[in-house]
Amino acid sequence: MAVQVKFIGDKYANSSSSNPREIKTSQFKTFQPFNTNTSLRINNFIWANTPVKPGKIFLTSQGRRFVLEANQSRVIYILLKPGKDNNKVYLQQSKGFIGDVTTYPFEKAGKNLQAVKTIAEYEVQILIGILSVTSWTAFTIVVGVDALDFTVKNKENFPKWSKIVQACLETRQDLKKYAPTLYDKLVYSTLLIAWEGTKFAGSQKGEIASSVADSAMKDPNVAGRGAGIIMGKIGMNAMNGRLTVLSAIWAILFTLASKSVTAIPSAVKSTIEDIKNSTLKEKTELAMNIITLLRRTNIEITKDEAIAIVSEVMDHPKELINSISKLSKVFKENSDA
Amino acid sequence: MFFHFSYVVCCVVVIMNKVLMFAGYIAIIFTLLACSNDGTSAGYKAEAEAVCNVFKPENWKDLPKDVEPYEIQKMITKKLSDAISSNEMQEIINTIPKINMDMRYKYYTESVSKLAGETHECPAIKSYLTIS
Repeated sequence: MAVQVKFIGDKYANSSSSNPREIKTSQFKTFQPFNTNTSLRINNFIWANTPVKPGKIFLTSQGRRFVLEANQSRVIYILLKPGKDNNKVYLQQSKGFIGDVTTYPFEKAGKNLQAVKTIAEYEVQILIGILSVTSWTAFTIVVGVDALDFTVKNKENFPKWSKIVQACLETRQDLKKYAPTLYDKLVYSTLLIAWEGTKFAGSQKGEIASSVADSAMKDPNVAGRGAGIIMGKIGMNAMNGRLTVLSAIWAILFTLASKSVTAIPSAVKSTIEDIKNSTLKEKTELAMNIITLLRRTNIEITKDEAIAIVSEVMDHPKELINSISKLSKVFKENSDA
Repeated sequence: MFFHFSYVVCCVVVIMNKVLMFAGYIAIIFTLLACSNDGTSAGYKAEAEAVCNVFKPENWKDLPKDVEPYEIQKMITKKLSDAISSNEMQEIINTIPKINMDMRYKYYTESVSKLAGETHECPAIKSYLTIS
């Protein structure tokens, strides 16, 4: 039975008003940072618990859409597809987006479905973190050709970076209190400074917004976002280099803190002058080690600052041992050291 | 005696297997017949009903809460694919995304009504295709 259905379709052919439009590289900055706190609800019982929100992947005939921002009026997404049009960013009216993704099954019914790689929430946060501080061009350089391939290739690195940032956030209060120079030079200036200038930065230099920091202690996604921001700002190679160097420094400081906690009472030393001389010599040696290590990552600190770091650890070993132990362990386990 | 008994059991098992296989083939043939459309109005009507059922709430009660969007898309695609049994219906269904958003349900009912030879309505699909 030949049934004429095509002409009916032509009569109601789709208009272009709801079609997505590409966000050019030059326009990209005007949309940043993306608002990742909003979502778009699809008013249908099948989709009731599955809103459109950042990090979610939808299938369409053009490719996979990786959502960067979604609200009641618009959706911004990356189109992930093989070929020269991959990784372009699009903006579409919400209604059009919903129309596209909810009718995708109609288009594909009776045909083969493409395989979809999955992506974990913290991996999404790392990508969003990178995107929030880089231009689109820079993002494609950092991430490469395909965001999903990037996450697959860095599957082992993502949780490591996330854990390191989380450890830095968790220990920062103790470090700031008992070892302000250490915090400033080894944690803030080497890694967390990358948050500066983003909405996650606190009101004062060296501060991270308290709301973010508090939630980060429990939420790997926030730490993941932080890792993404840091990587977006300093680059992947620089980040890996810093983590390796810091791992070595934490190991030195952990040994120092452990020795200081269990130090033999000064009574065994012959004279007070001997103690002072040996301590100063030890401090200077350790300080020079730290300076040399940091130079590998192009981070300069003065001799006085390095000695201050060593002194802080020696003066408050009991208060700092847990934090330094944690940092030493986490960096060792999660860097290339 | 023991040998004979084992032999009989073995034969019974083999025969039962053959019977079950044959029953399986019969079941598959009947299932295919039941799902396929014979090209009559009644056949298209039954097919349209099957497509409509895909979108009825009672068929989505067991949907997990933390399901990913693309998983929902794949589930709907699978259910739709299972419901479609004619090329004509597949063409109508595949054309829906190309239709102006506000006209999709109208297009669907007009096309299916023409196939079935009588007015076809499906409130579940209407609700699904209506974007507020």
